Amino acid sequence: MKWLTTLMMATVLFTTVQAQVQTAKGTVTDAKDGTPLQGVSVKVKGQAAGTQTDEAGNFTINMPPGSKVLVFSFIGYEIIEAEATANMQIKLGTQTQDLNAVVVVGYGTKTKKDVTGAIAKLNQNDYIPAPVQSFEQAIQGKAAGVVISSGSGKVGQGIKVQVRGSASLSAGTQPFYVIDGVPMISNSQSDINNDPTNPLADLNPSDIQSIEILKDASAAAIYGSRAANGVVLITTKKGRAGKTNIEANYAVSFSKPTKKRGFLTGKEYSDLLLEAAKNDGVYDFQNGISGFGSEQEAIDFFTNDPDYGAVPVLDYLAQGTDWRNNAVNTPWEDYIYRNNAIAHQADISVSGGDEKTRFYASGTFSDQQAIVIMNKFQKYGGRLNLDHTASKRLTLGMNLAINRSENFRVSDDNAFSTPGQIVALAPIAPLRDANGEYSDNIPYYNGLIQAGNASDRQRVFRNIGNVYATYKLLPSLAFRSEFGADILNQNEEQFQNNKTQDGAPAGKGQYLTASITTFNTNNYLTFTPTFKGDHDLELVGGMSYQQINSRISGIQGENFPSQKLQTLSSAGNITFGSSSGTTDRFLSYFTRASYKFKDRYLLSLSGRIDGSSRFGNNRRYGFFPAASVGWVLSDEEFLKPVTWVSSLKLRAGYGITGNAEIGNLNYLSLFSTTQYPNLPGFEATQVANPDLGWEKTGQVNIGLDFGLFNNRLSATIDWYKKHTTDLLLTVQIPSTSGFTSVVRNVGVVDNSGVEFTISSRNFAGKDFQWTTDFVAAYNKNNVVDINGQIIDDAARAGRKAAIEGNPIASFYMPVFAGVDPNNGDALYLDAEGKTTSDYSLANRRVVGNPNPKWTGGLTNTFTYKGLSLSAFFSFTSGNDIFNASGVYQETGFGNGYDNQTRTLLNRWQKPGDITNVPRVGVYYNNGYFESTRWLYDGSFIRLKSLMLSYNLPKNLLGKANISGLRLFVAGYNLFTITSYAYDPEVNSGAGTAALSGGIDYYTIPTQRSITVGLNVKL
Amino acid sequence: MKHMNKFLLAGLMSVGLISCSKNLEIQSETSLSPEQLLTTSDGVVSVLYGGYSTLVAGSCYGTDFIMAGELLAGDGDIFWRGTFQTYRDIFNKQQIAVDPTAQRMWINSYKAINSLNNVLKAISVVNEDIRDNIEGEAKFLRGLYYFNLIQYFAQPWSKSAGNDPLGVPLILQPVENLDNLQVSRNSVKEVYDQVISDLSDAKAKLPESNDNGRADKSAASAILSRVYLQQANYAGAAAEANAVIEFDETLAPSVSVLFNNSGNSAEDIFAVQQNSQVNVGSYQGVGNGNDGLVTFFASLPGVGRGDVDIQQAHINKYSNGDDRKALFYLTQGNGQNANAMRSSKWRELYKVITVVRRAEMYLTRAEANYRNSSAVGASPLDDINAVRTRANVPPLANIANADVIVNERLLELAFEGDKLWTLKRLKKNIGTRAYDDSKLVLPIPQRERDANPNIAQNPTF
Repeated sequence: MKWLTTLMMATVLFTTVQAQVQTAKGTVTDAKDGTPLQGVSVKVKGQAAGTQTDEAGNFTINMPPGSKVLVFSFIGYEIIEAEATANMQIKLGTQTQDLNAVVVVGYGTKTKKDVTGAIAKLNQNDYIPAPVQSFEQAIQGKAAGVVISSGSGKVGQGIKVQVRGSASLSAGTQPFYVIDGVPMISNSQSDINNDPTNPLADLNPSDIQSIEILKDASAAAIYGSRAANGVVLITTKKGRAGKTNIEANYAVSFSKPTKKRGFLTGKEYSDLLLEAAKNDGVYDFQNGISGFGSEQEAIDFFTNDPDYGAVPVLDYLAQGTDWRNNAVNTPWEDYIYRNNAIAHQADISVSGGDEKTRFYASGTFSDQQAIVIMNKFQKYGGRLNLDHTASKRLTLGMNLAINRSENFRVSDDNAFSTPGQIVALAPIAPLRDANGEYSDNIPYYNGLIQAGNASDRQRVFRNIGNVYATYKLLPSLAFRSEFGADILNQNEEQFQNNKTQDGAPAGKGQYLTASITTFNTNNYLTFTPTFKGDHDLELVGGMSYQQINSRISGIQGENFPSQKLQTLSSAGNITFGSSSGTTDRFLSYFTRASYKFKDRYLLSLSGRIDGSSRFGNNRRYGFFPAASVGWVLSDEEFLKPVTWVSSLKLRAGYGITGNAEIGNLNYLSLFSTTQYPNLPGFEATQVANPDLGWEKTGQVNIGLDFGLFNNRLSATIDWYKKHTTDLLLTVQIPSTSGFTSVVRNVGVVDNSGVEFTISSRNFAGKDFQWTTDFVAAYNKNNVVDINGQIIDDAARAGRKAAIEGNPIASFYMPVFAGVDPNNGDALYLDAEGKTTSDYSLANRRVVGNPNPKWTGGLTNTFTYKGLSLSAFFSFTSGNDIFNASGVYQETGFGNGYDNQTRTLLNRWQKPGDITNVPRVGVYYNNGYFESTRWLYDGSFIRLKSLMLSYNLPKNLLGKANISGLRLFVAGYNLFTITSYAYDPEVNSGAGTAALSGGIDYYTIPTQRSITVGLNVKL
Repeated sequence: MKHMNKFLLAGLMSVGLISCSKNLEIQSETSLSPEQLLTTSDGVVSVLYGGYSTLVAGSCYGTDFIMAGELLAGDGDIFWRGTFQTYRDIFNKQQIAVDPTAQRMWINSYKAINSLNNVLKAISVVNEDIRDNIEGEAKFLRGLYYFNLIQYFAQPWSKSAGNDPLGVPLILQPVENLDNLQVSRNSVKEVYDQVISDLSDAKAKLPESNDNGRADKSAASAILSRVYLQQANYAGAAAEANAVIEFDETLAPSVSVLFNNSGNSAEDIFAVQQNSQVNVGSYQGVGNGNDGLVTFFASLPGVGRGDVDIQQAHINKYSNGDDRKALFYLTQGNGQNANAMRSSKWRELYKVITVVRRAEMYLTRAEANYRNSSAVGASPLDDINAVRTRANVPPLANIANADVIVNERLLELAFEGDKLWTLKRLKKNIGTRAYDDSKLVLPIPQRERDANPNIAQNPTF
């Protein structure tokens, strides 16, 4: 510390004496609309003394001798430093690209200029105007390197978020979410037999002041073992002293699917099935399979035989209607969707307070229909954030949100009962049978029967809150203590009555609960000694402890005496009951030192020690250090003459983060309980690995921030390389051992990429402005070492694997090599690369990647006076999509009597036909196997949103005592360019696991919406 | 000042350490460690029960031990019309190395075997009064799992008289760590020898009768008779079948009460137990709504998917008046073929799944005696007529040849998982395929060969 003192002395000595104002005066206004800002903190730089602006935004402050700079700060606004004068006009802006914007980092804040890591900051202005359930849907494509994939057009579903690629195979891949310092429950608690749901939907997006995504290790390592997948810091809004602001928003949306697939008509279907029968006959006879006397005899058999023939099948499917004369043509696909899905969203907030106490209170309500029938999401909740300045030393406060949501769900994509699967029904079958009931078994269960006869409601009661106190031990030393909790109580109540497939014959009900409580405390000291002159230092150090307790239970019953009574108290027979629980604990110590010399040489060091109950004694604690440097070149003398460079900063950092997102107790040998009537027992389910420890990611990041032409053009460019080692990997072991896998620390996965964020004020006139924002990110993922294994995607319908030398979750399947023009057989490539019609000789190959190479978005905003037009395009490139439903809907009956897509109109019909659609056939068909036939380039460019908004002029509003009124109309997913046959933004099962993604399996497409809304400020 | 800061920080951290670090040890609420479990008599017995629980899984008798064989041998009797690709492939004899049915059968059998090996290693911990019984049950189950594995994953004994190196790996010790897991396949003969040894030990140690669902002496003899029949050891088969019948000769009064019972029928020798909480085919619990013999075979209102059509050709094999013919019914619920007939053997959820029943013992004793020109216990004619009479079919006056008994067996035990093994041991064609066609065995799961290169694959996979 001695050298510091010396430096301080030297600085004092060299401080030049110059003319100063004794008293600084001025006004602070909002840069956006010029309204006075009350409660802005005005401080003399390097001193504790300060004041706040009054109602009119005015301030007066005495300048101590030797001081000449004032610092203006206001929550939610940039921090501005300005030379003190007697008449100051300070305009505070909220612009994120501004170097003076406040950035929330772990356990503190920094100005953007001082940030040395890679952090993306977003706020409400970045939201896509669309009916969303959770905030991350609203920032899709807005942050470079953050890939957000909504799963489908269902509402409230899990959403996959990847920050800088996937680094893990068996452990979690989702970022760590922290809201106002409290780790947030973000894992799905859904019935495991259905799609994952999204606990982040319990947060009102309008309550969020800012979202900071810590992308690189130097930014995130302060969160140590939780940070390898990136950290998302959510800061909610705070009240400000002064005028009480009331703001209300309302929006209504009207939605339809972006795309329908298109299926055969009744006549096309029956013709196709008869052709399949004919093909089978010809094939059977020509190959001498069943020994028919003639080709015609064989055709007749496959056409008319009561067991094997097509005609009896058609007769049955037509349900007594005359299919021969095209009596029925049911467009089943149309019945999946609502005619017009309506979503209402309203929220209101009140904020204000005085110098002692500030508040922000809000309420929200939304009722959102999905485009798919039966499915809707309702939510209401409120929030109260309080801050109180008890004394000059003590401030304290609390944030508390309560929320209740209810998701009316449909079955997962793999169930016959899900609306998405009714496309498989025969178009010659009538919608309703003679009794007026929906036709059933045509040839499958009719998912429309679910409507009105089945219900699945997931209700979530959520409390997220924390209390905190900051005590200034010294002007330069503050102690902050936070205690927070995230309490999630969920029940999922399901009933299927006797008319449904699973509920027959007497009804079936299920009740599942999940109670998850996270308690977290952070206690840390922040030391900001003041030095006159060139040195700035901030030290942060403290501890954090988190405990997660999870209790789940489920009960199931059947045999209901009346289908009107649907709770399990009426079940005649309880068929399943279970309860269990688990506890996780994390104990952490962290520290960070940020040092700044001459306002332009930046150094940041951080370290965290984490202990977790998830690991054995041998490796329970992990250490996660990081270091980064920054150099603000634009403040150097040699760049001062270059006037077109407004700002220029270089950043570089390296750090290690960890991942512990595996289940508990993976390090022990365990026997688990088994059920057998009257013989409750145990079986060996896990073999010990006492050396199990953290998965570690070393990441280097080099970044450049610059602003040119008076910041008209500003950009951030980052290059990174992530090297993940000691992978928490579920290693396949010979199952002759009685176990199939163990979790071990083996393997290496690399990610590297570049990210661009460019913002340009192309035209900045008085009345007319045009701005362009562009983000793009490239990521290359490579599985370097996984012990030589091929790890298959365990999920249904997935045909993907992790294989060394390839990206995680590569598509891995036989290659479809077209159709033999002579006989219409599907051809595949065998191990030697030769074509074969024998699928068993076709070898699996790495054929595609579900993760995009390039992602990003482009926003253009045109403003003329109060009128604004904004268009946001998002894009991905280099990713593939596998239509896993193709094996049923595009094979020509090789896999059942499913209706087929219109692709089949282009099928092989006679020798010499050149096509990619193999011969149809019920019995002799080799085209129904999974292959690259259904693998598509999933790249797309999509007009994600187009919004026209109008701010009513102030002079008009003034009379009505309204300070702002904005009307808007916005379109969502208005058009798409893609070579994928259907909707490219699908992810069946909305899986968040490492190997998920890129699978379309009867998946509901995303919606196309028109939203009309208004925003009023009083 | 600096000292004070350090003091504060140190104080803060130590408070954290003291209060929290102990908390990082947590206990499972759903599992126990081997030390907790295998050191008490009750604990070891509960691991034996774990070995029983696997029987009800879809990978074992819940579905596959019975249905996979019926699909492989389905030609002329059944037609698979369901959407499950694995069963379609097996039915079409197009199963591939990654076939999920083969994979789960393999994995779950070895999982159960590991549990049973744990029991046998810790058998000395078991209270003396029940120790023999527990050892007998563990060996019975281990023998039963290995017998199923060797039949499904290797060529039949009849092909090589056991001299086929491609049996299945024999694991006879519990796996307690990750060492020495890269095992190889034992020969067919070694596996058969082990099965016979286990079942013989079991027969010696098991009680004459046991609780519903638990193995007894007759169960061991009954499975042994199957093993001997596979080996064409007719004297052995006749003796074991005879032992079962000598102990209890009961045949159920009619074929209509043989199946879909809540407990063992009068005729069941060994059967897998189910109830509404533990079963294959309900939405949750052991299996799921898309599994189980009833799910695939039945088509009744609210029950079953109607995936297995019984072909008219099969029904025509029964004479009119045969009660067994009356067991078939026309599709009443789900299914892609409303004209298809269904078997009543698997029509109700939550009911007992017969593994072996006494009628089979009569038919085995009849065939073994006939082929061996012996009359252990009774004459072949009396035995076959005992079965026929119970089904209301006129008794035979004489037996023209062994096929008469075999055909009676195929009718009596239809869809109970017997046909494939009967045809294979007699080297009879299955459809147009020879009994030893490479596609009439299941592939070694690809995942197993990925994890263990020492395991050879079956030919043509």
